[in-house]
Amino acid sequence: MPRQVVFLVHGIGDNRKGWSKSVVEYLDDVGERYSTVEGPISDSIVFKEIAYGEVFDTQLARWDADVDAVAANGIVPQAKDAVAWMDGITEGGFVWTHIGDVVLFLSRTTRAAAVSEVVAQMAKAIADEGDPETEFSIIAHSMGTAMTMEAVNALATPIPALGWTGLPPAFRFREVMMLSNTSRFLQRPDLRADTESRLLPKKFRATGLCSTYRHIYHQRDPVSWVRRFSLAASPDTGYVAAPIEHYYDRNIHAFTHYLEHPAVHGAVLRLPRAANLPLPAWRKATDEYGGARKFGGAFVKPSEVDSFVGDLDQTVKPDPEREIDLVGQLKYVAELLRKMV
Amino acid sequence: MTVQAKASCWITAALLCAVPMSVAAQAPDRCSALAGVSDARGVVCRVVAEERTFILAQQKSPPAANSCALVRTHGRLERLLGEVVGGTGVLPVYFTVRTVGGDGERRELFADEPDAVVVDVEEGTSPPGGACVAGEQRDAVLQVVAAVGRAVHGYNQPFLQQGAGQLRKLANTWSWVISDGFGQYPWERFLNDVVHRNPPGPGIIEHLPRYEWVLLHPSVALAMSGLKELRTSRGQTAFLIEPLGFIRYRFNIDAETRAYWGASALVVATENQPPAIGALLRFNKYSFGVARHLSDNSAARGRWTITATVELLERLQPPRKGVREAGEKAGAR
Repeated sequence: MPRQVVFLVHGIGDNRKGWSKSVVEYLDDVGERYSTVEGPISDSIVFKEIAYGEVFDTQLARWDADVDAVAANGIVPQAKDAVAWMDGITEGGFVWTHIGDVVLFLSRTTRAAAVSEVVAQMAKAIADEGDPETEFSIIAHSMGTAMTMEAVNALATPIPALGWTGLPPAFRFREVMMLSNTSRFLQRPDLRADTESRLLPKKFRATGLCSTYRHIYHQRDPVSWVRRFSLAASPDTGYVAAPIEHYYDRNIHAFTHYLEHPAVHGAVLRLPRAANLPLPAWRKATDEYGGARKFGGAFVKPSEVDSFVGDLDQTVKPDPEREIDLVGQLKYVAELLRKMV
Repeated sequence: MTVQAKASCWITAALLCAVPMSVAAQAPDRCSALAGVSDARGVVCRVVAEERTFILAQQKSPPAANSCALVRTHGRLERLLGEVVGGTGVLPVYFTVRTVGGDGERRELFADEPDAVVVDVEEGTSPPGGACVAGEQRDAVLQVVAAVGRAVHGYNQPFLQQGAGQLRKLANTWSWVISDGFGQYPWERFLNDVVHRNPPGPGIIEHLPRYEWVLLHPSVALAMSGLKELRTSRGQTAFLIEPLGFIRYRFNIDAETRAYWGASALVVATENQPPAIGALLRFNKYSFGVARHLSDNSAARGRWTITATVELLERLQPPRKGVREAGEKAGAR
C-alpha cells in the first residue's frame, strides 16, 4: 500500500508547536475500539503537524507592546483611552485568542503571512517525499479549513519570479477532511471556496486537487453554521457532506470532538488499509451515532444534553448568510464558543 | 533548445530507460509476454529525448467475442515546462501520466494538465462474469507508467525541493513583515486592506506589501531642541502622531534582505509645551522628525523640535561616547 502522509491543520485558539500530539493520541485511542485496526494508526500514517499560530501571536504581541508604550505616555492621557480596547490582547483573553485569530485571518497581511507559513511547511513535506506512490491527505479543523483552502490554492499557483512552478501537474490529495468547515465563511471575494477554489474533488471540477472532499459539520456548531459551505455535487464525484450530531464534550466544536464521530475517524483509519475498518463495520459504527442524540463523556443523562442544547438555543441567531453582518455573526460565534469552552 | 536543456532531456531519457528496465526485471515473464510494453520503453526513452512525443502501445483488444473495446495507450510530451533557472542548470520537467479506464479499475498516477506528458490507457468493459485479457495488458502498461512516474518523480524532486526552499524564504519574509516591518495599528491595516485589494485569483502569498499608508499613527519617541542634542542628550519623552504618511518596502527574497523607508506628516506633543507640527522620515526602526511650534500664545512659538527613535539615538551616540571616553583617558594621562 502506498505510504500515507496526513497534514493536520489546526483552527482557532491557542495552538503552539506540538499541538497535534493530542490529536494523534486521540486517533490512536479510537483505533483501539476496532479489532480490525492493526496497531496504533500513527504507526501506519505519517502525521505532519502544520502550525501557523505564531504568526498571529507575533502580531498580537507587537500590538500589545505598541499599545503599552502609547498608554504609558503621560503627555497625552487621552491616548490611553483611545487604545484601551486593544490593551491586554496577549493576556489569554478569550476574545483575542479565539475571535482575534479570525479577525487577523480576515486581514490581508496577516492572512498572507499565515498562509505563506502553511504553504512552506506543506511544500517541504511534499518535496522531501522520496516515494512517488505516497498519498497525501489533509485533516483541517475550523479556521484551519479556510487556511487549507488558501494554502492549497497558493501551492498550486506557480510563482515564476520565485522559482516555484506550483505542485506537480498531476498532484492530488487523496482525502481532504474539512471539520467545521469555515472555508466559505472566511473566504475572500477573489477566491470563493465553492467556485474559484481548486480545493475541490477532481471528479467534480477538472482543476480540482483532491480525490475526496469531506465536508463535516456538527449540527449545533456555530462556527460552521455561519455561511455554511455547500456544493451541489454527489458522492460519485468525491464530495461527501456529513452533518453529525453527538455530545461527548461541552466543546462540541473541538477538533477531538469531531474525531470522536465514526464518520470522521473511520475515514482516517481506512487510509492505510481499507480492511482496518471494512465498509459494513464503518457504516454500522456511523449509524450508531445517527438518529437520537448520541452522548457520553461529559454528558451522563439525556436531560443534560437537552439542557445544554437549550442553553445554546437561547442565544439570538443572526442571519447566517448576510455578508454585511460579519460583526453580528462573529459576536454570535464568540458567545456560543464562550458557553462551550 | 539550450545546451543545458538538451542535457536535461538526455538525463530524463536515461532515467526513463533505467527505471522501466528494473520493472521488467521484477516481472520478466509477464512483461515480456505482452506486446507493446518492451517497445514502449524504448519509444519513451527515444522520444522524450528527441521528439517529445511517444506511443507506449497501440493495439486492439482481444477479439470482439469477449466484448473488450479498443485498448489504446499513447502518450505525448507536449513541451518542457519552465526555463533553466539562472546558473543552477535545473530544468523543471513535469509529466502528467494518466490512465483512463472504462468500468474497470481506474488508476490515475497523475492528473491531467495540458502541458505535460499524457499517457492514457483506455480499456473496455469486461464481459459479465468473464475475465478480460486487456486487464492484464493494462496492468503491464501500468507498470511502465508507474516506472515513468518514479523516474519523473526522481527527476523533479530536486527542483521541487529547491522551490520549497524558496517558499520557505518567502514565508520568512512575511514573518519579518509581521515581526519587524512597519508596525501598523488595526485601523491602518484596515485602510491598507481596502486600498490594496488582491488581484482576483488564488495567488496571495506572492503579493508582498510594496507601499503602505500610515494613518493616525501614535508612537513615543525622544524630543530635542536642536541637532546638537541629537548626539549629546537623551532628550525628553515625546508623544508623536503621524496623521498621514507612507511606507515603501524593498525585499530581496533570495538574499533574504528586507527594508522599508517612509515619510509622514508629524504632530509632536511634549510636556509643558504646545504641539509642534512637522515631518518625519524613517528607515526601518530609525525615524527622525522635525517640527515647529506654531501656537500663538506660547514662548515656544517658532521654536524647532527634533524627534528621534531610541534606536536612532543608540545608533548615533555610542561612537560619540567612545570618543568622549577616549578623550577622558587622554586627559587622565
